[in-house]
Amino acid sequence: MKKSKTLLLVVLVVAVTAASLLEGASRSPRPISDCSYLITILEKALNYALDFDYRGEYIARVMLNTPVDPKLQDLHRKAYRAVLDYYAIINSTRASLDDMRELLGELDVIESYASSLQRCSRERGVVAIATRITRHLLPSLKSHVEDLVKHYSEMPGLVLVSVPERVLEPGDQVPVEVYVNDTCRAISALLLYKDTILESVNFTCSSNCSAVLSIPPASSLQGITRSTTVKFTVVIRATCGGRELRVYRFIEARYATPRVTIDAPPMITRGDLLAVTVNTTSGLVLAGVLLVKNTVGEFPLLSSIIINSTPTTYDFRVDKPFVVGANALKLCVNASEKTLPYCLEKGIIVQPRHPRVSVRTTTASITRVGEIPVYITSESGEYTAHVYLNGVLVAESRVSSTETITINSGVLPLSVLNLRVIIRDPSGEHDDYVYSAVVTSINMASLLLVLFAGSLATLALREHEKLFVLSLRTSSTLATRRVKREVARVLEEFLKPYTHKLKSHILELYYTILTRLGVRLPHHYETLREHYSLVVKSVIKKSSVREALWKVVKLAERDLYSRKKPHLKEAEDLYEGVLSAIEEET
Amino acid sequence: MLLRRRRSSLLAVYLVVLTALLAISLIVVLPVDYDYYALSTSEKGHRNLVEHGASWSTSPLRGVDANKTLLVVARRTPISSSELEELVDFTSRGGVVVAYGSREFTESLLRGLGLSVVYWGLVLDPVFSENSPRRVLVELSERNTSVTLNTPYVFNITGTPSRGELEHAAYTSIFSFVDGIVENGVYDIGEPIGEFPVIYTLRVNSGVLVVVCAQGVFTNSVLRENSEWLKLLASGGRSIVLDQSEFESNILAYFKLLVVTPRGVSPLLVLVLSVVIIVVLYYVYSRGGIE
Repeated sequence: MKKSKTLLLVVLVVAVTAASLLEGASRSPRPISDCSYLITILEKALNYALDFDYRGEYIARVMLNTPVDPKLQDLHRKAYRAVLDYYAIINSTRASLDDMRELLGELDVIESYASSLQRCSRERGVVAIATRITRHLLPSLKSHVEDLVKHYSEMPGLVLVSVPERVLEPGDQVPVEVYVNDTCRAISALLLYKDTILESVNFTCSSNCSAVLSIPPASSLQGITRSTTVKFTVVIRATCGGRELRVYRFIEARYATPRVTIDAPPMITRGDLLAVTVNTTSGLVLAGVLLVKNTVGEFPLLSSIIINSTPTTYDFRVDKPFVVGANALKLCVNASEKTLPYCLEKGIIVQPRHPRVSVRTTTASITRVGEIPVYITSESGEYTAHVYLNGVLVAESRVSSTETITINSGVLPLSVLNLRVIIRDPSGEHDDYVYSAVVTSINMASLLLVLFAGSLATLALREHEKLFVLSLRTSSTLATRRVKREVARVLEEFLKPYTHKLKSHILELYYTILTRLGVRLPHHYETLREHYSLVVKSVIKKSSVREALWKVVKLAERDLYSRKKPHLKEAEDLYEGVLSAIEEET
Repeated sequence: MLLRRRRSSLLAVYLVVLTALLAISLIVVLPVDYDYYALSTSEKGHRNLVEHGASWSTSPLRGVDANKTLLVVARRTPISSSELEELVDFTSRGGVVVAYGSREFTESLLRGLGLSVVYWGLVLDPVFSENSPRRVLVELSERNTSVTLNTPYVFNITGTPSRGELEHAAYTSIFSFVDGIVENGVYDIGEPIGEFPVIYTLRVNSGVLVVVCAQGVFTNSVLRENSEWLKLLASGGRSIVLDQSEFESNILAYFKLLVVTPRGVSPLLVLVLSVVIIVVLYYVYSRGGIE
């Protein structure tokens, strides 16, 4: 009983899972490639981090050691390492200012990671999550760190620093007011972007010091391509009792892309003049370059262009480097003091310039020998016409006014052909004009020839055909046995010349006599003697006739097989004798 | 003439006996892959549990000492109210019961206990898992033991049980999510992420009923990972009994359970077959001798 109670205690205290305990479990997950899942977990971790919730740190630590798709692995690790560094700083009571400033740079990797996850996910909701991360969570995290930097560098009573709170613009002056007490001395004021010192001003004052720093122009900042707010660090260096101190402040400046417009017709014909109008509504004068982009490459149209608030129109002949089809005009303006570098594109379709010709043919052609006429009319200029039938060049001709090209469809009585006519301008001024059609051609001569040959063949085979059809119709019907027999007889008769044609005139005479007497002819399996014994003897009653027939049989055998052939006259006499005997009998 | 008749009758008897033996051999030898079946070697079978020392029974609650038994109830089909009553009675007598299986089974079990149950969906964990997000790791905090659940699922459970006291015993990790919007095995934006309760315990008197919302716990595919927990549950000299009452209505499965033991073919079966064969042969030969 006691044991059982102990067991129950053990089993029942299978308590609520503590997240930290699971961390030690021997997990072996498959590398995660589900970007929707990864970005959701990242957002969760950042939300916890903003709330200073320990679960964010736990998620970051676990995810740091969780394998993901190899393409994401590096960014994944760096992003969660940055989150862990953030926790390390907020958990520490003695974090260094350098670590904090380093973290501010590290946090940017989270934006890159979120962008990568957004790209590899197909779900629409991911865009919203990525936006929340980059627009809200990440700036808030950075803001926390900046507050910490300010807080840690605060020297109450020793050094007081005042900088403008508003969002500044490029080129703006930044007044910095510094108050130091008697034990301290202000040394200098620095303006930093990331780790780069942009400006430095030395102080030569005792207690109330002031300096003016200036926000750098957009042209001096690298790596910023879209409108954004940039944070600069103002560092005040001072010494107090021989020890150097640094006080940090942050100022914001808004950098924007210029508002530039480009206007051009969406469609134009090759060789025409293209009017491109450019201007800017930013109230600035901007320098840039105008290019054309197409499948061949990117080529400058104007390597230096000035854009101001007055619309300026430039005309270009639409020829090389434009290509027939889709092109894009690309206007790139350089960074100015106030605005960032910027490019915009406008698409135009270049249509081919065809020669003024018309091509016509008949879709169905019935001619004596299969001719197909192709009518080509040129309104101006001289061109060459290339005619293809089923992809094969069959005719080539010069065309200056109205021309008829006759091509042959071939010897077949009926043809269906793909006709393609290409009109080329030898001067290159016009693009190729292509005419395509499917033509049905009837060649009367070959058609008649085929009909004639067919009729002859039909006549020649008529008898065979009859027999064939007859045998087909009767072969499977029991009731028509008679017809079958008749067919067999007809067939036998038909084949008689082949089966009985018989190398012996005497034998032919014998067969004729037998036919006259109404005696059946020998089968193919009977010898003449067997036939005589079985049939002739029993049918012919008159002995003289029988004897005469016997003699004919013997003569026929000699004629067939012996080297000493009998005279035909002998057989004819016997034949005459039999005929007279028959006549006498009748 | 007489000799011929005797030979033909002998041949017929031999054929019948051979056919019967062949049929029985086939039933014994051929594998059966029903989910949760004691002799099944499939992912959701219990062959490994049997080899681990568990016995099975088609009527486990009769004549069993509840204080000395760990009963594993894993099923595909819902449990009836009478079966549930027996189970609760067994637990109240000091038994330890682990129940898992299909969603329908655990749902019927929890409903039978008087709870309101709504199914949410399968729980997947891409981070705390073993090779697949469906093999989810769950931590049992007391002994710092992790359990691997094969295809866990989650219910929204409200109310109080008619008997005993229900406790959430284990949750999935903070990285798990409910594959509920579209059950496609991947995360869809909007699906809930977080910890979800997947193991419940119900204390009834001195016994405990552990309900695991998962398709596999001591099944072949995850038994090795969960053997420590099994040992813990069976400590105190409890013998492991696998409930196979679900297969009582399945003639093939039931017959196989009767003729096969965890160590091979039942000696009782061999004895019965031997007796039958001897009787038949004796009968045939004695008849032959008379004629």
